[in-house]
Amino acid sequence: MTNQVQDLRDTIRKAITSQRSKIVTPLSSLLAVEDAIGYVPREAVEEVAKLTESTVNDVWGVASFYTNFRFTPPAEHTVEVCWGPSCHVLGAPSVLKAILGHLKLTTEGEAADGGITFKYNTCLGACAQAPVMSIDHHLVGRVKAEEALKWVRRLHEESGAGAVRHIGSHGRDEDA
Amino acid sequence: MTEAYGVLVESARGHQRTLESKPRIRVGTAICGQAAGALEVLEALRREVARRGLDATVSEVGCLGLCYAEPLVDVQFPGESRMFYERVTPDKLPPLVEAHLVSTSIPMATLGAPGFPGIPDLYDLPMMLNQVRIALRNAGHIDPTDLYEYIAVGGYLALDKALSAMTPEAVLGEVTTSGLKGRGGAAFSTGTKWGFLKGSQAPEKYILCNAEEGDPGAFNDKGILESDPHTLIEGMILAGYATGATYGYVFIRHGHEGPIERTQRALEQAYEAGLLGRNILGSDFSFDAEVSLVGESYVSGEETALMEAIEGKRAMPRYRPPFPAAVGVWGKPSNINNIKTLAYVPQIVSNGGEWFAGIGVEGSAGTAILCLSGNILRPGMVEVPMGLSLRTVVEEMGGGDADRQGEVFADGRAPGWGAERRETGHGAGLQGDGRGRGHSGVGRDYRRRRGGMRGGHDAAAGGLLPVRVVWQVFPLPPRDHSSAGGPGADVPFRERAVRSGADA
Ligand SMILES: Cc1cc2nc3c(=O)[nH]c(=O)nc-3n(C[C@H](O)[C@H](O)[C@H](O)COP(=O)(O)O)c2cc1C
Ligand code: FES
Repeated sequence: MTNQVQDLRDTIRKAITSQRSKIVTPLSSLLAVEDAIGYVPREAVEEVAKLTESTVNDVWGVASFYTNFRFTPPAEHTVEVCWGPSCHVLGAPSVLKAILGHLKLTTEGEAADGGITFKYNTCLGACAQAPVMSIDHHLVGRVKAEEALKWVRRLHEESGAGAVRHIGSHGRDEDA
Repeated sequence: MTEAYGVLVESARGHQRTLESKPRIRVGTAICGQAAGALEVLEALRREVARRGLDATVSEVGCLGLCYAEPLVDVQFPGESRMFYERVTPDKLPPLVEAHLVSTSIPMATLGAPGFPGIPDLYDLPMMLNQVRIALRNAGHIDPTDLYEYIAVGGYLALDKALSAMTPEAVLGEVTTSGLKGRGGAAFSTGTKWGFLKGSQAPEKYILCNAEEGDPGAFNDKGILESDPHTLIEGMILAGYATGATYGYVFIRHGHEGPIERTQRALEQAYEAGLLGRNILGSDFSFDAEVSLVGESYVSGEETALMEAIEGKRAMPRYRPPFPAAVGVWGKPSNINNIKTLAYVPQIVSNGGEWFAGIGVEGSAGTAILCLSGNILRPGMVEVPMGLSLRTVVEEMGGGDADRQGEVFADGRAPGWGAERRETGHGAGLQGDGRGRGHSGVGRDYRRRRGGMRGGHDAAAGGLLPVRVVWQVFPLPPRDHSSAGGPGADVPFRERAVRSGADA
């Protein structure tokens, strides 16, 4: 086992054994892993199965059910644009179009030339400030296409080249 | 009053006196405030206060509901009114801190004596005019991370009253008398549901609070958690006392950090103060509670799916019967309520069921908590008596939209907006075209033409009230779509968003 894999396993173990919740389940453990490293690698599924005395199959079943889990590492930065109804009527389509165009993407995924993961969000919970986007979990409301682009450009400049990978809407299409 | 509560009240009063002895600046930092830039304002404000060496308290508060005015900052000097400033930006702050009334920053409202000539009282703002704030009574006023502030405004008084002077049957009786119906969607009588759980003799029973709120456009459940989490906790403990349950879960969607953090913190404080855990307030009642997180999946808001999620599995609804009151989470009898339902309970116990029953309309007691968003002048969150017309909410309180064209998309779950709308609809008249949107056929589509409103409404559905009102401006196409769902209704929403995203 390489050191890297060992480190990953250690990080995962630490995340799942130091959960705040008194009741530890496959779901709570997977969420803890996602919080810690941003995705759920195969190692995490194995560790969670061990800890919760479930089968690897069961844990995969849970992980593949909820749409927030992804199975490949996200890019350094994550940009989410809400396309919920309130945002939609106030201009989310033009924000989406601008960002997708800039990142040369047609749907969710990692931009080919930079460290940005792009995601749709069904509602960021700030509907009264629509349209809303989130940049590394920082919310920006009443956003216009140009302003959204400014944010994305800034991230783009900051980050190095990211992995070239297009993934399905739930991030699991390619690695199945 | 229990001795333990007396001690808490004493401390809370002392704490309140200290707070009131200094200038206080409140910043709304709920999700909507954050999206408007409240965190930047907060940071700049803290810096400015430190730079000037001011002895002032800067507090984060939740959501007052006036989201259109965010970032909303209010300043209060000892013994003076609270002055509310709208759409504050970091560069507006220095003068605000200095004099808090200079030509460039005129407060939008004041609260409390003596007021200020020419500036309206907070509750005279159009958006506040029709409000009856029960579950939202503290939202935007108190620091949600400060237990003493909640106690100072009467928090946990209902719990103290129940534990010291009421039997569980009496608490259940008040809830039944109140006519409270579940705000999660099905409008089921809360008293009756609690009665089912009470009837079970099992030693281990659960109270579940549903704050999943997966519906896009709805943010009131998160709003309550962010603004006043102790109200919910108190409601849950009371539900436990009334039904004999001893464990509670607050179910929140993973990723909404503000609501999760504030709820978790409130739970810890409640434990420290002896309001949760063994022998609450020195009584022989014990109750534990924790937050349970779920991954993203719309269906996990359904009650039995949610139980599966708490158990760590895929959120797949269970077959019924058996019903949750017999076999719920971990196979034990459980009662599940929406967070809004539980948030009403402390006030019902304090003021009596009759009081609550007197608000709203026959068959739909109490208030409705609604979110306004979309192309509306004043987006935000309001709490209005059941029976108020949608037109009053959208046009008078929300300010309507600019070009007077469009449709109101009122979707969601909660009881109340029943046939009575016809009587109180200010002549607007709702006519049903029976189109359901969302689950349980509760969603509907109000289309307004020449000042009238037409609703896809099923008067017989037990009176269902939208929890969110999204004022949409889909320009009305030439075809008559009064029996369809508006332009592109045949295309699922996600697809529509992509399509227009690609076309635009
Ligand atoms: C698909 C589906 C999604 C639901 N989502 C929610 C939700 O997000 N929040 C909620 O409180 N109830 C939701 N419900 C209703 C719950 O099943 C349940 O009836 C409710 O939480 C009971 O609380 P109440 O008695 O206070 O209304 C949903 C129901 C279905 C069928
Ligand atoms: S619909 Fe966009 S934040 Fe809710």
